[in-house]
Amino acid sequence: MIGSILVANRGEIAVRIIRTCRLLGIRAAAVHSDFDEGALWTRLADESLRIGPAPVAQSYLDIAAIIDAARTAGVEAVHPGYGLLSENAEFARAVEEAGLVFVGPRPETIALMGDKTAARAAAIESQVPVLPGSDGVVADFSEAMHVAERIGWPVAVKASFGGGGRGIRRAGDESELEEALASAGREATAAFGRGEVFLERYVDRPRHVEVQVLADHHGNVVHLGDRDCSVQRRHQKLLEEAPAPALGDEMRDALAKAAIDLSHKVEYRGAGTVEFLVDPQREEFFFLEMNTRLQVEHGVSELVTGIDLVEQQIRVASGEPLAFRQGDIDLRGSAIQARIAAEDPWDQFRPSSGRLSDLRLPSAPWVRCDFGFERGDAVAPHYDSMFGKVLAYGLTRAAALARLGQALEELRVVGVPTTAPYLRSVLREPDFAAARHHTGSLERDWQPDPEHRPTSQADTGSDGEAPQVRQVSLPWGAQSVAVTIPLERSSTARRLSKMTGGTRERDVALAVEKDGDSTVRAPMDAVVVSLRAATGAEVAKGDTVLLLEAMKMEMEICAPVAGTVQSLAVDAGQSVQSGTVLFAMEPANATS
Amino acid sequence: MSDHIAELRARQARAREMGGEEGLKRHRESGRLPVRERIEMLVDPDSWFEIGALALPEMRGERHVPGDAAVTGFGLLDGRRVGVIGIDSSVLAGTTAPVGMRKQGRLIEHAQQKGFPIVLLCDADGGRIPDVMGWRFSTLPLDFQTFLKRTDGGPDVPRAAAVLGPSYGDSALHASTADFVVMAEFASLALVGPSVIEPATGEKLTDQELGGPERATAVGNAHMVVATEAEAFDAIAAFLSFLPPNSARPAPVAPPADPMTDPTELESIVPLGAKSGYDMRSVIAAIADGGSIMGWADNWGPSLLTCFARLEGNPVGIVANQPIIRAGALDADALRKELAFVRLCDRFNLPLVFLHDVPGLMVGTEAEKAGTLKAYEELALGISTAKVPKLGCVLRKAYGGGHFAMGGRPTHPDFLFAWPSAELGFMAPDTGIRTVHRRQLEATLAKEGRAAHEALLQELQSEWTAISEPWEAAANLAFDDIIEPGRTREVLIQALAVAWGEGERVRP
Repeated sequence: MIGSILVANRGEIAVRIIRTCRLLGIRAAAVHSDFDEGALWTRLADESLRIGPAPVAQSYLDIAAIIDAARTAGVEAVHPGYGLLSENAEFARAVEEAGLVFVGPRPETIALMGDKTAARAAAIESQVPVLPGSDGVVADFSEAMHVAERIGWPVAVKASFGGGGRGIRRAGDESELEEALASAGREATAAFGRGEVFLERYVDRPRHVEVQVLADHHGNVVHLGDRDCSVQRRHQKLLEEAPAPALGDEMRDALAKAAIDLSHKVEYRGAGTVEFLVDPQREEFFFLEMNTRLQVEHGVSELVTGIDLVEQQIRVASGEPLAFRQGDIDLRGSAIQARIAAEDPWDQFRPSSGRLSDLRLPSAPWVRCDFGFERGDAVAPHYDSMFGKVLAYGLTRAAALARLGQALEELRVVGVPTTAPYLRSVLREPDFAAARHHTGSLERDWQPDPEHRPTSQADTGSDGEAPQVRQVSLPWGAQSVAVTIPLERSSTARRLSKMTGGTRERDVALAVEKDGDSTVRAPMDAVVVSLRAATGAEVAKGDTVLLLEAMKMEMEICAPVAGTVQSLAVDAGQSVQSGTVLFAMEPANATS
Repeated sequence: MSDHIAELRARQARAREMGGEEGLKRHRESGRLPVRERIEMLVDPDSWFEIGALALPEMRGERHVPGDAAVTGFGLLDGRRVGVIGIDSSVLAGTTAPVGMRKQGRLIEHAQQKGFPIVLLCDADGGRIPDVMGWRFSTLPLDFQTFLKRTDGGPDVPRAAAVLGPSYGDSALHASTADFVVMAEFASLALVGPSVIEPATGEKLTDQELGGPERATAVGNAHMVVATEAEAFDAIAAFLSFLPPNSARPAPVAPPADPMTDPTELESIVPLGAKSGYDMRSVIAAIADGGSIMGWADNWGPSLLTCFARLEGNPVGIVANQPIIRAGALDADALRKELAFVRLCDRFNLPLVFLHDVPGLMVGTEAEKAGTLKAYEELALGISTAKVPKLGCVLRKAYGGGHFAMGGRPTHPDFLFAWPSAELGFMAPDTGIRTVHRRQLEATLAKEGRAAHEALLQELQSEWTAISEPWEAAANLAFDDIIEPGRTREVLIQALAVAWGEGERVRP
C-alpha cells in the first residue's frame, strides 16, 4: 500500500483524510497557506508545508506549489480531498507527471465527467436516463430559445464546467432566459475559467438523490447505497442523509444500477458519486452529473455501511482490488449530516468570517463530528464558510433525526453565526420528517423564523452594531457555564476585531451603510465581478449597478434610489473591503 | 541618526526574542505558549504598551536574557485597562533576578497608583542562581509595601493571576497576592518546587503531586482550573468584568438578563425535609441573571459555594451553603474561604448575598484541630465589618453558629428574609433536644420506661419544631419578611437598590 500521502486540502476534509492515514500507518503531509499556519490539520499531519499566501488562487489552487510541496515532502501520493483542485484534470495529470499517485480517478475520467456535455453523452450511451436538453453547448440566445421551445419551459441553464451549485439558473420565459444565460456563464467563467452553458428541462419539486460508487483497477464496481441531499439552498446542500428516504425499491435498484453501469462505461476508479434528479410525482429519475471525488456528505454512507471511504480510496489508488463484493455490503440504519457553516440563516445566509471564540462539539452516542478547526481559530473570508459537519446515526430515520437535533442543540459556537440552529428547526419541519420535501423546500417553505433567531448572534456577529458583551465558558463545579462579559464601550470595536480575526487587522466596525441613502458601501469583503452601469448612467431604483462576489456567492448591488450613478469608485476584479464606498447616487428628483 | 535608529531597532528586536529558537522550541514542546503570545491572546488588539523591554540582567553571561525574563506593560482587556506582568519561562526557566524584580515592581506601582487591575501570568521556577545568592538575597529590590498589595491608603486594585506552568518562589507569591487565581491543568503552584524540597527534606515529589490543581485548589491557593491557556485568559476577563478598576469606583453594570431557570421553579428545586440534599447551584441559577454566574474557589471548603453573579445587571457576591457536600456544614476551610470572599467583595464594592441552608459549624476534635473556632470568629468579624450591602435569605435551615457565619443578625445584614420552609434555632432539633432535655429524658427513661421516653421525645420535638418556624422570628423582626421562594430574585433586587441608597455604589 501507498506509504505516504500529501493531503492537498484544508479544513475538515484535510483532518478527515489525515485521520485515516494515521489509522493505516501512512505518513501524512499537510499543506497550508500563510493564513492557516498552525491549523489543526497541519498539526495532526506528520508535517505541513507552506504553499503560499492566503488567497486560494495563490495557495490551495496553485498546482505548481502543491506539486513542489509533494516533492519536498517526498510522498508517494496526493489526495485532493473535495472542492479546490479535486476535480481538476490538469492537476491530476500534473501529479501523475511528477511520478506520484493521484488518489482519485484517471485524469481523462475527471475531464470527461467535468465536461457536463460529455458526461451526459456517456450517460446516454450507458442507457442512463438524462433530462431532455440541448445535448451540447448552446452558442447563443437564439439557439437557446430554440432548444427551450423544444424541451418546454421552464428550463435550467447550466454552466458546462460548473459544479457545487455554481453556474445554474432557472428561466421561466424568454425574458428570463437572456439574463440566466449571461449570469450562469459569467459565474462559471469567474469560478472555473470556462463560460459555456447548456440547457435542460427544469423539473418541478424534484429530489436530489445520489449513489456512492467504489471501483478498483480490476473492473470491480460496487455501490454503497444512496443519499438524499434535497435540503439545499442555492444548490448548496445543507442536510444530507443515507439512505434516501421514501424511495421505492424499484427506483432504488434502478438508481444503483444506473450508477454502476455508468461507472463501468467510463472505467471509473476510486470513490465517486453519481447524482440524479428524482421526479417523485412521475417516478422518473435523470442523471445530473458524476462527482469524481469524495463528497462532503460521504460520512453518512460510511455510517450506514461501516466502510471507511478514504481508506478504500487509498487502497484502490494503491492498486489493491476491492476486498468486498456487492453482496458483502450491508446497509444498516439511517444517517444524517448537517453542514455547519459560518453563515447567518436569518440574514439570507450571509457568509461571515470571524474567530471561533468558543467551539464545543457535541459528544453523544451515535454522533460524529468532522471539524477542521478548534476554538480560537478563525473562519477566514478567503475560504469556504463551511467549517465542520455534525452527523448522527440511528437504526431508524426518526432516531437519526432526533439524535442530530440534540447534537445540534449541544453544539456551541461563539464568534460567528452558524447554520446549526436553523438546521435544527428544519429537522422539525413536518414535511422533512415525513420526507415530503424537495430541493426547493428550504428556499420556498422553510424560511428562518425571526422569532427563533438565536440571541447570541447579536453578540457575536461581525456585521451591524458592535456587540456590548461577549460570552465565555467557564467551569463551575462539575458543570461548565456560560459567562457574559460586558465590554467597556470605549473599545468594543477593538474587541470585535479581536474576535473576528480573519486578516486580524481588518476593520470590521464598518458595516453595511447607506449614508443618507445616496452612498452605497460594500456590505462585506468581496471581489467586484462586473459593473452594470457606468458613472453618469441613469438607473431606476433597484437596478443592478454592480456585482460582487464573496465566499462563493454573487451579490447584486442595486441602486437604492432612482437617479444618476455618481463616482463609481471600483473596477471589475478589484477586491473591496466591507464598508468601502462603491458609488454614490444622485437622486432623480434632485437633478430635475 | 539613521545608524542610531538602526541600532535601536536591532536592540528592540533582540529584546523580543524570548528564549530564542531553542528555548522557544522547548517551551512549546512542554505544551505552553510563549509569554508574548500569551499577552497577545490576553489583551485587545493594538492596545499593548510595553515598558522595560530593553531591561537586561545585572549579572550577564553568555546567555541573552531578553527583558531579564519578564515582560511588563499595559493593555486593554475587553476595553478595561490592565497592567500585565508576564514571566518568560522560555529563558532560564523564568527565574527572577533583581532587574526583573524592579521591572515588575514598577508595573505594580503604576497600576496601583493609576488605579487599574493587575494581571499576572505566572510561570517561573523561583529565584535565579547565582543572581540572588548570598548578600544579594538581602538586598533584593522586592518591596512588600507595594508588591503584596497597596498599603499607602489609596484605592486598592484587583489582581488576577494565571498560573500557566510550574510556579514557585516569587511567581507563587505573586499568585498568592491575587484575588483570583486561575490555573491550567498542567500547571503547579507551591512555595518552592520539588528540586528544592528533595535536598531540604528528602521528600520526592512531582510538580503535580506538590502543587497540581487538586492540591492548589483544595487550600485556596488557586480558585479555578481550566484546560487551556485561552480559557485561563477568558476566566481572567470574566473575573475582572465583575469588578471596578479600583476600590474607589463602583462595580460595572452589565445588560440585565433573565435567570437561566424560571424563579417559580424554586418551589420545587429545594426539597422539604431537612435531610434531603439538592445542588445549591440550581437555586442560584434561578436567582441570578442568566450567563452571569462565575464560580470562585469551588474546591476549597466545598460545603460552601462562593460565586460572582449579577442581579438585573448589578454584580454581587453570592455566598451559599451547599447541601450536597457534608450537608452544608461549615468547616475551617469553608469559613476561611468565605472570609476571603467576603473581604474581596467588600474591597471592590460587590454587595453580598447569603443563601442559608446550614446545619451548623463542624464540631469535634478534627474540626478543632483545623482551627474552626478562630476561623469562625474571624469570619464573624469580617462579615460584621464589611461595608457593602449585605442581604440574606434562609431557604431551609439555619442553625446556630452556622446561621451567624452566613451573615445572621449579629453581623449587621441590611436585610434578612426567609422562605416559609425555614427552620431556625441554635441547634438542629434532634441533637438539640438531647442536649437541652438530657436529664429529663434520662429520668423518664429510668422511671417510666421506653414508651414514656419516646412520647416525651415526640412532645419535645413538636414544641421545638413550632418555635423553629419562621413566624415568630418575623413577628420579632429577626426577619424583614417571609417570602415565597419564587419571589426571591425580585425581593433581592429591590432590597439591593434600597441597601445601596442614593449615593454612588461605592462602600463608605
